Amino acid sequence: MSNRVIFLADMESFYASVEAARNPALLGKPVAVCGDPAQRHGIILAASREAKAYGIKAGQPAWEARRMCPWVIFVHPHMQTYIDYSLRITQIFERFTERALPYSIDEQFLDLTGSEKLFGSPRETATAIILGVWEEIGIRCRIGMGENLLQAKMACDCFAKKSAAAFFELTSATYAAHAWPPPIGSLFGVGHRMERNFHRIGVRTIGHLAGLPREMLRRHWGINGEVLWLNAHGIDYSTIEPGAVSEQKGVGHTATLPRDYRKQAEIETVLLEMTEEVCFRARRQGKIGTTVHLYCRGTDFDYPTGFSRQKKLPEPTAAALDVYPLVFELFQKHWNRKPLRAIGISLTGLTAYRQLQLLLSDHHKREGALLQTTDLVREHFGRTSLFRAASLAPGAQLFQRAGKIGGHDS
Amino acid sequence: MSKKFNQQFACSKMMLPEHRSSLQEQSVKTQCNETHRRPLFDEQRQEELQQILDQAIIKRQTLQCTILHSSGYQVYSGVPRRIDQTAGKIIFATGGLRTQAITAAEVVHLEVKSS
Repeated sequence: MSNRVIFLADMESFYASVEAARNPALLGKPVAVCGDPAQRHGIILAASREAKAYGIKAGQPAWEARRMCPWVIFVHPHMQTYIDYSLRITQIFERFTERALPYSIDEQFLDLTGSEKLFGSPRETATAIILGVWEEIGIRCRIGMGENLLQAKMACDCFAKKSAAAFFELTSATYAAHAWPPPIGSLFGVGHRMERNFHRIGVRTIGHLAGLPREMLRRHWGINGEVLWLNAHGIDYSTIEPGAVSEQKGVGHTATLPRDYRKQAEIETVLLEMTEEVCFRARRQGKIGTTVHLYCRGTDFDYPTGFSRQKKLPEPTAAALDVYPLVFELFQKHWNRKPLRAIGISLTGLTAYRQLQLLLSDHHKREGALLQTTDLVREHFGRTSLFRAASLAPGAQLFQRAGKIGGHDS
Repeated sequence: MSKKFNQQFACSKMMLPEHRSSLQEQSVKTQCNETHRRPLFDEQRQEELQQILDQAIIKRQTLQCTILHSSGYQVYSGVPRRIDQTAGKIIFATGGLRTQAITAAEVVHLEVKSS
């Protein structure tokens, strides 16, 4: 396993870089991609290198960015374009390896083990990839290399992004020397809350964590603690299989609401719409689910409220009216009557619909035919061509979200 | 072993459903292109196919013609009538008065059917 060559390729300020690539007038200017503040999406999604120089960062509110740099250019997101660019980048990667694991729209793991005779040393291969992406797409790509996915991720996030060569290599032999001095928050898997926990017990750097006994971390934080200990030592057992993207265990949909939702009736309308959306997505893949999962997040960031619960369906289905009663039941049981900011629903334990088709009763077959027809109408004429009357009720989101990707303009 | 141990990146990846389905479509298309990659013919093979076709037109022989579309292989049978050089098509009589135009560039195999 020690001879594995894993790359993590990350695109610099991806959304902002795509905007500059399609509109050269933005090149060299401070550009920030951000959603619509009126819809509570006025958060910076990406900032160009020039905008970052003013201290603008992703996740910041637009008004704060404007204060830091009054001449910053705000651009609305174009999600479908970003997906198209990401696919073009994937095609470049596929010239080098078929073992690729997309991690997000702008990050991909590539397994280049055994490709030295084809493309030269890993550094030469990385240079060829970086050059290919720059020349063909016009976006800067940074590559972290390691003997496993974790080392590649750490090499990219902690070092390659800051290196002029846009490349950095970590190995098991050099991991401690490079990765132990940075602060504990830089370790993959450590979020703000975990960082606070570690600070409380005096762990400030990744090296401090590596020095703690594995057993102690397991006792405190279970498997998560143990995985973080392994990460601190640069150990990771993840693999990249060809066609990894086609495996999908669940279909989900999460949305930040345009305002705080307090009324039960309004929340229920959104729950029904989201159940419809999730079921539609599952059906489009020819899948039915066995478990439904509901996630609700409260409005207070400092004192997070909300819940995340799941329940098994009586029988596998992808019909919204079969799934919704369980969503409703979970909501009724766990909602603490406090206003909500975000809602998520997912259908997991997916199996192929055709596996069960032979066992269905005539009634279910008729229902299936009806759903198939409504799906076809929606696919051809848009999501708002055929909808439940509930989507006309106050608080409904169907019309606001139709045609959007990830809650932003497509 | 818990999934978190050997699949921590699969557990934490952030993919938009639209991105995921586009990737799946692209992967199917790539596989399809790989499976249905058109063979490269050398001059000798090209002449061979041309001869079979010319002979069949003159002798009114029935040909079995294999063509490669983007969607896969298809086999047609018929008597070639003529070659439309401008359109790059081979016109086949497929029975009765019906004709079928086949793009010459898509032909990968020709075989005379024994009567």
